Amino acid sequence: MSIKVKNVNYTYSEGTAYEIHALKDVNLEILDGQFVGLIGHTGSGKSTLIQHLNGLIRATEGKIYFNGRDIYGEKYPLKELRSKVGLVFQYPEYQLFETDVLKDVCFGPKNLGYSQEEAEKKAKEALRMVGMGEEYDQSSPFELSGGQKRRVAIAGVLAMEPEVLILDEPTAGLDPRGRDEILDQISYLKRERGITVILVSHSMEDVARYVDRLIVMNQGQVRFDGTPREVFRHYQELREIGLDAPQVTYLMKSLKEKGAHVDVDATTVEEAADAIAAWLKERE
Amino acid sequence: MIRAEKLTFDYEKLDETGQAVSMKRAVDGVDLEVRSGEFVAILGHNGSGKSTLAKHINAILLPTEGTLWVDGMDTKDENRLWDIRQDAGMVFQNPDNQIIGTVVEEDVGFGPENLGVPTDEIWRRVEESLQAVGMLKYRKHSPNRLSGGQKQRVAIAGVMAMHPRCIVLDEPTAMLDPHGRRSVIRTVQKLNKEEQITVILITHYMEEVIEADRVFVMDDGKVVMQGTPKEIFSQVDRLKELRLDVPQATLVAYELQKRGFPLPDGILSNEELVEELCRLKSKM
Repeated sequence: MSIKVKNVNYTYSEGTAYEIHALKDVNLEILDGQFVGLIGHTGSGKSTLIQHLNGLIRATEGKIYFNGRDIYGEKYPLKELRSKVGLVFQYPEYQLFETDVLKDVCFGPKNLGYSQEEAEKKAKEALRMVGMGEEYDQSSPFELSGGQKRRVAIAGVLAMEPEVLILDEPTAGLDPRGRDEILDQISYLKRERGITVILVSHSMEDVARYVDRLIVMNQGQVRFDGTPREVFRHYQELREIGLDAPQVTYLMKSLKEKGAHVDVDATTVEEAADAIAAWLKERE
Repeated sequence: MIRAEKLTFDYEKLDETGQAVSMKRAVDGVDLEVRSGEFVAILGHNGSGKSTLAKHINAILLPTEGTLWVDGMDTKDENRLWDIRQDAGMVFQNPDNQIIGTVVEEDVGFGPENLGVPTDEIWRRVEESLQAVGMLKYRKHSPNRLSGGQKQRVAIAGVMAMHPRCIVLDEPTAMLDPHGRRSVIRTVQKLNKEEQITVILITHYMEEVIEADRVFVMDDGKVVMQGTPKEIFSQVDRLKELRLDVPQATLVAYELQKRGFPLPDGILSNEELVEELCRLKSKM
């Protein structure tokens, strides 16, 4: 079970003066249960790529296979694909529209043809999964805090029981605690439910902490693909393409330059503290 | 430059008939003074009242109780409204919501044109403002084709063209990639240092606060902490309670302190941490 992207090309406004080649021969395979980070500067093609994965955009050239089936094949059920590959857009709280939280989250499953009762059951389950207690079921979405609204919006996608959850910058504009809460929750879902997660992020610190695999897009192409440790070794090239490495990566490099015998691959605060502690305790 | 005395603001919740049904105190008795030429940062979790406070500075909101003065002008004085808005410019989170022109230079010229500035003078200001934010070579471009960081810098140029003495930036980097974030923060620091513009920066990125002269932390509508970045970030546990965070270098130092290594409080940057670690190692 996987998503396979094969030789995908996509051109916006083909044949006009505004033509942009947004994806260039992209090849990827995302396996079941992976937690994938997707980074790249604005305009690098990452949003275009994720919209291909649930069929919102059709590749100009190339193929996409979901669980082995060609999604551009005749009679392929695209509607089903969209429920299996759930996409949470940036600032999803702007898409909340119902009068109460529960009704809003029911919208997805009801659209998939579930009865009111079944839809409510799925909605409640999804809301609990994102940490929204029963006491909020009847609240107006507009009375909630920014972080809560965003969780409700994520629950709206989870209620459709996707196998793959794609989130486009789910923590933009949230305070640090709100950011940690959302990412911890997503990490929990991935562990407990085995959902595949693709996280689009502009925070190098966040992807370093949470994902197992990091894909870097630049000018419509995959530039790096590996564990965060492997990818952040290329911190200089990352800077050249408008990105960065976590602050601690630079810390470890400077220590090394001063002659310290430390593991320079540390990408999180905990790893850095461990590496530094080990070095400080070392006997000459 | 900016002075608030017992500033209080209540949001009223209205029912369908326009009757007030409930009130929420968003800003609660804030006393604050920002001196001319200072770089001040405001931190606080979502809903802590920082944006509401910021909107008072250019009279988008008027206090329910208390007073706010900009350059000695009371924001409640309707006759001075346009002087206040010219004096204190504001930049918001989403670049797409604050750019209106179809060509960069027209967008930047919109403000001074509204102030009735003569045409020759407008063009001079457009040029100098675009120069100041490093966007002069894009003057003939369409804003649609710029990256997020470039759009934000155009928005800042639009404010600069009004010749303000103070700029209030409400999470200007929340939607930007790492390169965009760096370019906007550098621009703001440069305007503060070279043009002596007073800066009030609201952000959730702790790294952006390190070079501020002073930091205010808000919670529940009140200013609960204030001091230099060093004083504020020395209080890691207190900040975490307030749903905030500290720069990664500070966090690594904090983790090492917890493991018994005697490092000083208030380390903010990688450079300081490297220096302290080398000193510590030489004594071991």
